[in-house]
Amino acid sequence: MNKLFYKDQTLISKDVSQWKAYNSNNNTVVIAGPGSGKTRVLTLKAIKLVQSNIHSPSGLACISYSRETVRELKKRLREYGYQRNQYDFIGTMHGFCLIHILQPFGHLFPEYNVPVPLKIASNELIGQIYNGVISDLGVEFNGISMMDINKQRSLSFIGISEVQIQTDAFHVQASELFEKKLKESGSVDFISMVNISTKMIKEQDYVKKTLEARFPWFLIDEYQDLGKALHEIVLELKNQTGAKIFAVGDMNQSIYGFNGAYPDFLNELDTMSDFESIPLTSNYRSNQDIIEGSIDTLALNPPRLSYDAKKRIGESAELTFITCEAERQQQYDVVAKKIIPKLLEKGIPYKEIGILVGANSFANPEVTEMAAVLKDYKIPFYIVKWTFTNTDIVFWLQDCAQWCLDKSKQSFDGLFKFWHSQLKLHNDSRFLWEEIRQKTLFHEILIGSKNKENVFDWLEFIFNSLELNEMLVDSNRYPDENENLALLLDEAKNKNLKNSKLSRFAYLGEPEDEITVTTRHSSKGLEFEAVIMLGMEEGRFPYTYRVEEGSRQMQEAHRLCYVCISRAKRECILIRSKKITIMTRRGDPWTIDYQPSRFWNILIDRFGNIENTFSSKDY
Amino acid sequence: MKSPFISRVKIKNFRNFLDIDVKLNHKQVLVGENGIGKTNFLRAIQIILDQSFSDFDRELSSSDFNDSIETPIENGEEIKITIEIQNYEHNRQLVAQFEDAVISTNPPTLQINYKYYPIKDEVEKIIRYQYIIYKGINEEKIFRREDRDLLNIKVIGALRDVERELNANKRSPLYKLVKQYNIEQDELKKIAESMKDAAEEILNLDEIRDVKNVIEKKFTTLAGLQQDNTVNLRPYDIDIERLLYTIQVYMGIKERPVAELSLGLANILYVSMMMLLLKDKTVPRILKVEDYKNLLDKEGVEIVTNNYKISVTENNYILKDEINADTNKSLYSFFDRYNYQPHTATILALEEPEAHLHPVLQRLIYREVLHKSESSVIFTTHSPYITSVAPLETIVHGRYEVNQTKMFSTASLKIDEKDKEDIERYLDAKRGEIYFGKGVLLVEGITEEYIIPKVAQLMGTPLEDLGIVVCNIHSTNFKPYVQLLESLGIPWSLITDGDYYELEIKKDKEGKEKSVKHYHRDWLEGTQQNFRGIELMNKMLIDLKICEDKDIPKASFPDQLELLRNNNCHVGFYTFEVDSMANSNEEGLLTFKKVYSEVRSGGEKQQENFDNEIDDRNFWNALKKIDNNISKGRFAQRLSSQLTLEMVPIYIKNGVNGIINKVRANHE
Repeated sequence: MNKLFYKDQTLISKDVSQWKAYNSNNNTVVIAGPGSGKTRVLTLKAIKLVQSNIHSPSGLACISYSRETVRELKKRLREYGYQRNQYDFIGTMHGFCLIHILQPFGHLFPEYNVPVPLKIASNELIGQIYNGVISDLGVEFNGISMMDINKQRSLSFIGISEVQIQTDAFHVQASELFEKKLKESGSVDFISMVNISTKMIKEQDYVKKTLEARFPWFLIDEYQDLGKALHEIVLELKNQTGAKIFAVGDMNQSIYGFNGAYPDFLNELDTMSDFESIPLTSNYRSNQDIIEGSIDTLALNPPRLSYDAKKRIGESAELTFITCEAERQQQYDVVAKKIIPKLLEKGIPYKEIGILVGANSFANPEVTEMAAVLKDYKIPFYIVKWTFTNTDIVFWLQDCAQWCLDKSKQSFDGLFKFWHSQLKLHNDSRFLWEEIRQKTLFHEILIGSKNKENVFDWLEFIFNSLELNEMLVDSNRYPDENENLALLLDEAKNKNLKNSKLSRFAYLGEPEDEITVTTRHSSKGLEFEAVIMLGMEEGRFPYTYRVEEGSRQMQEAHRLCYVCISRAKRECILIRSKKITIMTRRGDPWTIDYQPSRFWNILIDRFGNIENTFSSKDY
Repeated sequence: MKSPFISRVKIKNFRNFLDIDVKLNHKQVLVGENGIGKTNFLRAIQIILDQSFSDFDRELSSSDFNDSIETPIENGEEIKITIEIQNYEHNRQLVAQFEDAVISTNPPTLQINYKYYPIKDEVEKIIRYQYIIYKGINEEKIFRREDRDLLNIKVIGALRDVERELNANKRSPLYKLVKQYNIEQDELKKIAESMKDAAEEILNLDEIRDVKNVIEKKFTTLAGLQQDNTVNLRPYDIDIERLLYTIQVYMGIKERPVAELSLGLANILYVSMMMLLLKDKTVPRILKVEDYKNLLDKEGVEIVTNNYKISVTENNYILKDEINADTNKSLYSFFDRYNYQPHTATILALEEPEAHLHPVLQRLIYREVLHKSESSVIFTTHSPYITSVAPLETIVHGRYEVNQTKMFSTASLKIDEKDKEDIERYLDAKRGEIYFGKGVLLVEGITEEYIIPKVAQLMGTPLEDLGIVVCNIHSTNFKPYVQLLESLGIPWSLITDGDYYELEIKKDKEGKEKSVKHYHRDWLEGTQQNFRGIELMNKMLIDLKICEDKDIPKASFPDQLELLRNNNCHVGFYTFEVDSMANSNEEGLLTFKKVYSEVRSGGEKQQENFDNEIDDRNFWNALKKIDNNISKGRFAQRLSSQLTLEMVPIYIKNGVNGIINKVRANHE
């Protein structure tokens, strides 16, 4: 506990709900609206529990949605003076299942078919299994997607929860077939890891007993995104053990339905009598206009949400609607050429601007495209969703880079420990060396890498000197890491990290004064003075092909828009194109006319006027 | 609540042990000859669990490899020690700490491994050796100091200076015991001050003042021009910690200090304090008022309010006496949850606790410890008084084989409850002698008990020279004893009567066939033979899975006898005396008559009748006369001194030879 901790503690003591959540001693659900300071409450509570309530060998379990959110959480905890110890778990759901369920107990219960040592299926293998399922079922690829199967698998666990999610009998059949083939392959994937762990917790008293002894408290962030399996674990722990649950989430920010994460689970928890429900309804981010506008886009049935601006009081929002003639490129250009200069003129710094695009997939590399344009205009930017994934190894490389730039930022021992454990994990013959020999070599390599000018040279030097790619061939734990590292190298050689200084890579997770470019999904948790939303075309956002009005999928699109708008503190700029050319499956270009998105219409209803509605040319 | 215990030990290549795998129990008594490696067995456990061992102690060297392994270091041999722990699951801290060490959940079992192994370079050249201690199956889960803080072993060596340890201030068990109570510092300060005040009174004595003056004067004379010549006297400075050391044990009404106690009593005192110290303290005996109040809002606190009462000083709440087992269990789980003090599980190992202790006390004390104590204890001992009161399933026996020691234990012995009671009673009465034999010859009665040592002597090999023990089990229920000996790896043979009987098939009133066995009859050439002894032994071998039913050559008694012989069972024809008489020549029969005459109670007539039966070769009648007029035991006692080899039936000789050969084979 340090000064910052006490300062922030004083801060939340002034908000009745936050203070109540911070001090709760029993099972608690915190329903936290946008900008309600939930991360602060959660991290302060974590610190308090670790210091005063949890004693080794018990520890704190703190689970969040993604590696990125975990990294953020850890950073916040460190700022409050938290020191890592062997008893606490702070990580993702997968990490938790791996470290605390599958590794210690997998080998004890052969009936669950947990491969020992753990073998994680590569994307290639998953693809093969998927193809096998498709051909066994005799359907076309568009008959059922991998995403459909995974969603069904995530929902397949049957436990205590009474939430009913309608399932498609064909999806059930396909997912069971997939599961069977995966089992036969002797591997697990992220979904089966979580499902098997949940099953073990439910069925094996000893596992429950250990969890209870190990973790008197479970703090769970982004509950609405974590899916059914976690929900079942929580219910199981609540019913069968003395472990306490502190769950934080917001049904209205549930945007991962395609993973099987529906708001219904959080809702169920919220209505349970043995959970205290604490809503956080103060908004410390946006002005009241933005709050109301974002609630409009949700289009929920009454009663209407009631959130109050507590920081930007009495301020009004500024919305701008810009229509381009054709294609995505015009949208990028107007952003770089006109919108950003204007925002800068108003005194808004780069870091207070967020550009939210649709996706960063192979077919629609919108983040990369946007970034490329910013690069041309020499506008500094920061990418939340890169083409490569922020894996453990990528994070570690970044930490190594930080050490190369400033020794005080990272512990060399810690970096080496990770490397050494990788050698062991991959049965690398170098693990047999004297540890000190390996350590000396590693030290020399890192020192030697310091004189590399740019990210690409540095990465190449590190990869070659450590023989990293060779080690990762046929990796059980990181089967797709070499492909991922190739994407990283490509980014450094040809794309948005080209000719970048090492510091850019080292602090990739911490924007300096840069514009943030992100997908809509990855914008969660971020906030900006001004948010620029691209691709506001009906059919593209929301996606309407084969999506029924009022369906779960459509509701989720509304929530996604809600999340995006509520990132803004004050200002929101929406952009759309009238025509966009797509490639048909045969590879022919096909130009389609697009109407404005329904969200555009909702917002223009509330905020639109001649003053703020433009075509790209006259903006 | 019984504490965790070491349930299994596996050792490879370490000192006496080449490859052993032995199951242990909550209480364990290690027996075996000197030099068999009892201390090394404990040391293997200590390498993993002993907190007082340094890293240097855990780092082995080439001399720690078993002697039979040639150039172990050059060949890259490894030393491995594995221990398993059970009965820890009621302790949440252990469950949490050893998450990665679980190797079974039914019953919950932890595993900890030690490995001393070579580090090789890329061309597989050995660079050096190092050790690793890890939890469970994953070598990445290192067993560290904080693991040892919660689970460890305390070995009290055989050669200890109890007096010194009892008075060793900070290391004294009494001081540690007192320390555990966390006595209020203010209280101690008050006492220390009043003691100081009282002590200063001494300075006011005229005699002391005079001493001060004398010293001062002398000092001045010697120091000459030295400026400041004041000398001050002060009683011992009493600080709070020292106050606690000053508490010492005095025994008896005369309050004798430890130094004056006999070594044996000091030993008991020391051991009993260690046992107290190691007791699971999850449920506190004393709760400070403040701590008590903090518990009041906890769920299920009634269990505390009902079972603690305020002390006389009103500073503390004291646990009531006479808490029943169920309540104790509830208290345990309550405090396990809410009392965050680390509760260490310590396994106690006592080497030769019999030292300097009278046999009667040995039995009294260790019966109590072995049967009732909640702590897990391992003894090494040579004392039959301790083994005799040890529960059957607590024995570990070390036995020397070529180049190595093998360890055998009774921990997983499955013996019928009644048989078990019988054996335990037998062991108790016979001072556990069965455990100390290098070989055991089991016999069914008093006659054999007297005769057989003599037979061996006549055959030129006194049994005592080889450490063979003759155990008379007073029945033909050999099975549990054989099980016990087999589980301990002790070579055995048994000698039993053939008990020939005549079988008569009768029909009862309803015409049902009924067989009647007639014992004590002579077999007539050409009639059917039946032997209860053979039947019993066959059944035993089958029950113990030494033989299968189909292996028994039912058609031929000589073949059956041979099979039994090969499996260490030596069976006679009738009973020893009758077989012996039948085996004897004139001279031998004369000896029977002579012995009878020496011990008979009646007159000449009695002798005449006996002689007649012998002469008529009515040996069963002769035996009946021995039994009625003298008793078989008394007769055998006397007979043994006059026995000649010619009189000894072959099955007895075979039995004696059998065990002698086995013991010899093991030691050559």
